[in-house]
Amino acid sequence: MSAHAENSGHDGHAGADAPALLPDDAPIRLPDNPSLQRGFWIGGAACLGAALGISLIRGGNGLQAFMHSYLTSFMFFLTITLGALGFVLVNYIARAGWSVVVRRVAEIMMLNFMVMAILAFPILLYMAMSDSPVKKAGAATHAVAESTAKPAVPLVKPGGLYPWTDGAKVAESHHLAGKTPYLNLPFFAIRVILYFAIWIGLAKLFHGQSVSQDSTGSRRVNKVLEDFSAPSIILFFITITFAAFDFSMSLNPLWYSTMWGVYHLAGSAFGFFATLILALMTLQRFGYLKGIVTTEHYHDIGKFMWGFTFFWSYIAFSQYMLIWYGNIPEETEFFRDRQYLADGVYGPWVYVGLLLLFTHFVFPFPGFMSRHVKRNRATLAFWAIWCLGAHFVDHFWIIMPNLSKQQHSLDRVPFGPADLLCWLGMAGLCVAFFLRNASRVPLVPLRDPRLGESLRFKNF
Amino acid sequence: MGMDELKPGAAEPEAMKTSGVLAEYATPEGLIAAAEKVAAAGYRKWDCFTPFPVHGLDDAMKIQATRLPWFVLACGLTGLALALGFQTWANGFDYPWNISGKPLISLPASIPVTFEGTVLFSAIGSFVGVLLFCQLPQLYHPTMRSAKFARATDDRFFLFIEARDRLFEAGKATSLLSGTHPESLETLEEPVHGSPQPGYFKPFTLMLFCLLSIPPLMLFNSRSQPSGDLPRIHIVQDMDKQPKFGPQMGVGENLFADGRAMRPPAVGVVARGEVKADSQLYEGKVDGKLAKGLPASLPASAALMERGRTMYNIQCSVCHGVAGDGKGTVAVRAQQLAEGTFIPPLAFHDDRLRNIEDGHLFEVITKGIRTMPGYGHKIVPEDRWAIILYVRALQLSQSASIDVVPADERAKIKPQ
Repeated sequence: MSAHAENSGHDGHAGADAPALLPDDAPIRLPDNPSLQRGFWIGGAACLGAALGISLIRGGNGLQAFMHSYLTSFMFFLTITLGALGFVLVNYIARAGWSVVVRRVAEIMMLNFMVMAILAFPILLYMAMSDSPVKKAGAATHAVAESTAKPAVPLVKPGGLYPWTDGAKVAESHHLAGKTPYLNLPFFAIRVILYFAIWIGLAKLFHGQSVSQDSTGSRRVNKVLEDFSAPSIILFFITITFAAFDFSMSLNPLWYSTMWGVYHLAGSAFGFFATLILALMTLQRFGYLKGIVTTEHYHDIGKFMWGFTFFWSYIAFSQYMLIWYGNIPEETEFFRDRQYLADGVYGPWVYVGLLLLFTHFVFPFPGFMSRHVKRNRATLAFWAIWCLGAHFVDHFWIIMPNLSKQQHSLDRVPFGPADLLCWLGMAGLCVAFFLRNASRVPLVPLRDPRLGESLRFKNF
Repeated sequence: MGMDELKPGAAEPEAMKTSGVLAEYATPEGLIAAAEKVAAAGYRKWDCFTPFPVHGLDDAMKIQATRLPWFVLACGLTGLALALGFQTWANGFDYPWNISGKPLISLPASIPVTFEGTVLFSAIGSFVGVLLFCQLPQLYHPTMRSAKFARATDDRFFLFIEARDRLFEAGKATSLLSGTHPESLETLEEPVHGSPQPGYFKPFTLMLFCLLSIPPLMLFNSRSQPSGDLPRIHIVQDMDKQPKFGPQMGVGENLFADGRAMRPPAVGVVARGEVKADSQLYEGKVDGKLAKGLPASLPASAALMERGRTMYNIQCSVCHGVAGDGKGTVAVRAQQLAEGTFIPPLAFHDDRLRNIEDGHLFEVITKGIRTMPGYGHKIVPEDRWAIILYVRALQLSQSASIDVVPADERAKIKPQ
């Protein structure tokens, strides 16, 4: 094992700085291409605008439909960015050597929290607009409600995205009102700001320190970041759990699942590793990182992708089985909506659930179990794209049934061009920001002490 | 060499044969170079021995990719099939047990054990597989007869070509290996007939097996024995042992002669508040014959009529109609669906029903008649009498003449 040679070797001089191991002409610097970046920025924004336009033209409260599609893509890209942060943190806490050559790309990916923070604004704005005036107590009976003058139809349907933003509905429901101390817009907004502050702070800390090591080669950076990684991981887990509760579980405010946080975490890791593979392959296709990121690294990232395929399945099934077995109506409503129209009558959403099962577990699990599949670029790329598709189906299946329920009924699966355009739009923005950040730093940590080990890394 | 000298009174040296050629190297690189040569020469039965895993030795020796993963996969699939099959058989066929209404053969409920079975068999399979594929444990190997070989776990690297190899010829192997510049080169020998198994092996093993089988047999035996008089160890008592008789406790004749812990109630015993003495109220009968008129405890009143109207509209109007004309919504719809083969509910407005005893109406409400089910379990007796009062009012409404209506109400009725 290469670890043996490494461990006996370089720690002889404990305080010395790490040397630069790659030649100056190594393909590790992405040139700054402002026009390309601008293209992605504009293209991304245009796709989002087109999605909004299509939704509004369609009528029938298209804005509500757009917000659901928007939230789906938002969660897709947010979870991948979170996966990047988690990967970097775990690399430091485990003192990983194999992954050093790919860590910088992950660091750049996690800077996308800044893009996601801006993309969170429309959601908060919509939520602020989706309140409706609370009716006076005693006026809640049908008879009186009919006699009061009907207000003009609001632009934003009350409780259009998150039902608990509708003050009137909350006041009527004793159950919902009890959740108001947590589910109220000011506290929600503070929490969202807090999440992004923490995530951006951690991303900048770890990326900044890593980049500073490129010039100084100081080994102290590793020690500092190892020390920070432990509390950072605690923060990471707490924030991802509550962000999952806030963004996607509160779509069904009267339902809860204690596995929700880890469910999103599993999906994050799953989506992130697939994205990392594709990002590295794309960079290599244009000549960067050639000879630096090898089949061995792809094999290991593929192993993680496969492991998290199963981990996600395990968590998702646990969530399903506990609720299925308990058979408590308060809890089963989530799965009931995604399976049935009425007692014993299946709805079209059951096919989406089956699609999720098959794309997220049944096919990938045996599909790229074999090391030969993971070591072949073409097959690994195929499965990485497949996994990203499955990740989208996951968030679509979580979020969109709420739109179905609110707008028509569960007898239709509202998949349309707006969903694709939202995804393309956010993808464009994320890629643009990635290109911007990637052109400012070397694509590998030049003087990380474990870079040599990573370059020489060989799998069994 | 070796064992023979330790045997007291060894008479003559045993016949020896060559077991192979052992080469010793001081560096892993030397070993790798030698391994490449030996592999290239086409030898099959040979091996390398190193104190630590040497990178690149697998490739140099041209060792084929291991088949262990397939073995583990097979074990895992076996575990999956066994676990899933066992649960399906146990709860689906052998001892079907309704657990909270879940299906008898249920995939979601079976998954945890199935998952565990797969993982368990895979893990055991990989452990056993590694031992099997490495042909371990090896109690004897020809290299054990070499004194130099002790350094194989220290700081030397060895290569051994077995004489069993089809290409083996002592001279050829030796010259091939000496071309790789080993530290030393040794031809190893072993007795032709092998060492005999020590005489104590068989009886010892048999005795060991017998001794080791005693605890499981004792356990098995104790399954059929009661635990005796010793009480169980029960630390937190709570209210677990109560001095009372529970079901199927087997009190014998300790309490009552028939073995019961309670006396059955005497014939005709009724719970407090359950005495239904008033046969007219509870059965609609007086002296065994159907009664006419309301029971004495329920005088006719506006309140009773109102109650009757409410209960009639709730329970009866769906079939018999709000006006008692048999045109309730259920009846109308059923007529449409059944295309005339549905037996319609009665309308109350014929002479037979106008003159029939109230007790008969009470019986019909309580027990049903023809295709009408009984409503006794749904409607308390007082409400049934209220309904009967209201039905009489309905009947009167359809058969009365204008004289029955009070004078001040007459103005409100317009001619039809």
